[in-house]
Amino acid sequence: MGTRILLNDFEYFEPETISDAITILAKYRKDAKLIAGGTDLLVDMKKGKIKPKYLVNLMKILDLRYITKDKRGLRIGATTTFREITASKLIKREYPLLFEAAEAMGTVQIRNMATIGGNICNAIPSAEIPPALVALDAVAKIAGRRGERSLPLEEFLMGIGKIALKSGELLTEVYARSPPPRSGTAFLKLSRTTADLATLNVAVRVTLEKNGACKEARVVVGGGVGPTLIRSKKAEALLKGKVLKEPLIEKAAQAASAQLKPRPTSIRASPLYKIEVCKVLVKRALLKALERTKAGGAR
Amino acid sequence: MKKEIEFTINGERRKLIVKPNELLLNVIREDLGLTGTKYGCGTGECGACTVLVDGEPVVSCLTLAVAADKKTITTIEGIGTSENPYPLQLAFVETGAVQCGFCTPGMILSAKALLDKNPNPTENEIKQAIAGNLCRCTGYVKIIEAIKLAAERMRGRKR
Repeated sequence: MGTRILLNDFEYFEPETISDAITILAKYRKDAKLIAGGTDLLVDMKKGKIKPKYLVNLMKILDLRYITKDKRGLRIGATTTFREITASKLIKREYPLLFEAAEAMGTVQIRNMATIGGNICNAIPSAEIPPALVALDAVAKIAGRRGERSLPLEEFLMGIGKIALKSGELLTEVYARSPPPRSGTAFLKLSRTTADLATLNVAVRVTLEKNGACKEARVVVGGGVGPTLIRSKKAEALLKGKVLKEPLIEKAAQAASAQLKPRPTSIRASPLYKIEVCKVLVKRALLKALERTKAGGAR
Repeated sequence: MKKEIEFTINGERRKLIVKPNELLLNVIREDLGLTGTKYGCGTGECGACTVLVDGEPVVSCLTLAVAADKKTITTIEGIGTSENPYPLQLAFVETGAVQCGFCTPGMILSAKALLDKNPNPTENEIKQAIAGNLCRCTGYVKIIEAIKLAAERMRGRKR
């Protein structure tokens, strides 16, 4: 199938409110598909993998496009573009983890088009922003005919292309928790070229006690290491309550890499390579995050 | 069902009637006859179809024409002519940054978007700005040189 034109005909909607979008979704159900940036969906449609009869463009809904902060965290509307995330001074200053992950995604052109909600809902295991969000205990906010509900992002992502949205629902917001005081974060991506999908993504957060011991840690690995990202609670448990020294960090990195389940047919690297490289990247990320706990404001 | 859209392209207001599955790239090339914008991969990876929408580079092969309604679009034809080339175009020719030329329109538009915001970019910033534009001839060295040269000249002119 060629990629020059879109073969399939569809009816096109541009709702201006969330409730109008939900009404359209409820009416056409499985025949309707949501589009935001379109950088993944239109490729699949060109290749004939998806043939929606109704296409619902969310980009005219102003209520879905925002970056705001409240007392406990950061709200990002679902159709906020990657470009808007990397251009946000608030995110660069207070959520460097999200800035780094957003900047690691795609190219300038793709970041100008692609949205955070589209990236999450497309649920490809190599996505950059979900590991970073999970390291900040992010929550997915969902709207449907029966009202709103929330779900930890970790539970929202169920597998390759699989998310916890029910028919007629849409993702409206991701809510990332502000890192507590004495926190440091880091995001590292390994890929063949900057524009390529990740061979491996690592997002970590460490939060220290006043006495310097680790109060809480998050170690999240993505990039085709399983059906979705892997949060290593084993690595986190090893770090918790301890003073973070290099041998311990190495042990945690080892534990995280032992949890990976890359497919033998993985395109970008062999499973063995991913497991080896994970040890290195998790260690580097934890050391960087630890260093950043000392920086005070910058986390 | 067809939809009426209206946008400004290279400073000219255009009204068009398009099917919802029309792509901006094909409208630009076939309906408007502006063939400087190229069809490369069709999947948003090569950047040959790059145009500026409201000043920002996007891939027109993955943009629905209906979604370009009320936007401002710039293609390579909108920034300079053979008689009066844009500084980037001149620098590309002088530096030897053009070989087969297929990537050049997209490359120049990505570079323009960069220089409009950042008149004095570092080499790394230039590389990041054109990471979405593949060139299979030059190896990028001359392209980066050309962008630096154009940046220098454009800064000089503003002073």
